[in-house]
Amino acid sequence: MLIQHLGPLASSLFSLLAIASLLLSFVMLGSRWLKNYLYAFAAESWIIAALSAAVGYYGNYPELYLIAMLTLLFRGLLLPYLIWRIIRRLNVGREIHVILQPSTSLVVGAFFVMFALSVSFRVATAFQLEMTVAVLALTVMLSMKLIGFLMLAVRHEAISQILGLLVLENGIFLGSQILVPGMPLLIELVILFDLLIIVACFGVLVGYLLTHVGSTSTLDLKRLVG
Amino acid sequence: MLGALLLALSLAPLVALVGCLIVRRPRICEALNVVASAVSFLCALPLPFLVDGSPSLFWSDYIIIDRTSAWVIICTSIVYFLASIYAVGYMRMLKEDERLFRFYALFAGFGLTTLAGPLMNSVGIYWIAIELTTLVSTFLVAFERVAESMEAAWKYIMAVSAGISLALLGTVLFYWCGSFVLGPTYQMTWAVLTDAAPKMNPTLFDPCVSARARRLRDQGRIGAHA
Repeated sequence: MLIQHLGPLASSLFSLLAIASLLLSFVMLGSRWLKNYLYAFAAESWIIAALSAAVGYYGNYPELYLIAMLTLLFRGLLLPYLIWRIIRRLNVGREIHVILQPSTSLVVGAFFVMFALSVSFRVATAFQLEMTVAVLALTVMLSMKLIGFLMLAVRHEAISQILGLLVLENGIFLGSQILVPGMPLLIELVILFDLLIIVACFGVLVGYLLTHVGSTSTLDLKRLVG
Repeated sequence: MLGALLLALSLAPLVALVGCLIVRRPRICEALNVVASAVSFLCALPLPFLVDGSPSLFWSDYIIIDRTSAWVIICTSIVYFLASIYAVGYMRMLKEDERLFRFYALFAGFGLTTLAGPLMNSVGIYWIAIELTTLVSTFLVAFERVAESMEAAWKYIMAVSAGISLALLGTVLFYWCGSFVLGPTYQMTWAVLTDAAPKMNPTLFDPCVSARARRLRDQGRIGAHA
């Protein structure tokens, strides 16, 4: 196991990168502007790419360098570019109707992080890993998961929901880099590939939504309700 | 015998998929799809009687079939068969003949992925198969070009993608738990997980896996395919 015998420098570097990406998901929660979401997501992907490279270097997993490059290319450049094009084409700047104000969502997000921390600490204690970076990796993974679900629930623009889903995936990706760096390469490649397809689907769907419903706010989707 | 049936079961929708994309004539696509689903249904029928207590493996252990997956495949193939009979009349009513080959190609693709999913031996590839069913079926839901089906497709892909990201989290956590027993890199197949389950730390999933594995071991079944 990599995390059981990790030097202090490597642990602090991993912690720094994990915390930075958690902070960037708070940037998404605290803003209303779609551009800010997009920049935060791109920066988060670059940080995750850096983390993959760092794990590859310290844990001696050369295949992680490839994953770092793919992450940088797909999630750091290509996905943000595709989403940026959708934003420009749709001509939407920000969330207009909000259920939860950005400040309130920040507080809710902070509670989610506390909840994730207490769960992760218990889990890590059971594995005798409570003094390692595993606690932090689990915390960031679970709290980015919860923050992604929060974004899906309280934001209405189609773009925000796509980015919420991408935050969900980013959280798992980040956690799996630290916790299971030896997981076979195939899965990571396919996750990257899937994400690309998903956004292509979303591009199609957003176009359809605009032409057939006339707006990209999911608040207008209320013909099919139970 | 069993291997040939499984091959026919999954090749039939694949042939229909490729055939629809090549031929593009609406009536031929209909016929191809109904025939493919009938072949799958007939191949699925004898499966539970051919599979005995221990799972059978094919194609250098990528394909697995046991009693549970045999029953799942029977249920799927019944639905696939009935739905493709119903689709003929329903899709003629829509008068979308020039786009109809896409519908039937996607329909056969959906049949293929749902039938192939339960046959996957690796947990990672199983997840990928489920993800592919999602991607294919989104376009099926969005096939009719009216606002309602766009809305349905959007809601469908949001709910399903969030769900599949939870499944990915579960896969990563299972792999992590197994890496304490089996080392940082191992092939994550169902048999490997079941064998390692009694030695895993039960904190993460006591109610499901460990308890089931202990019960299976008590019944003396684990030895059969260890």
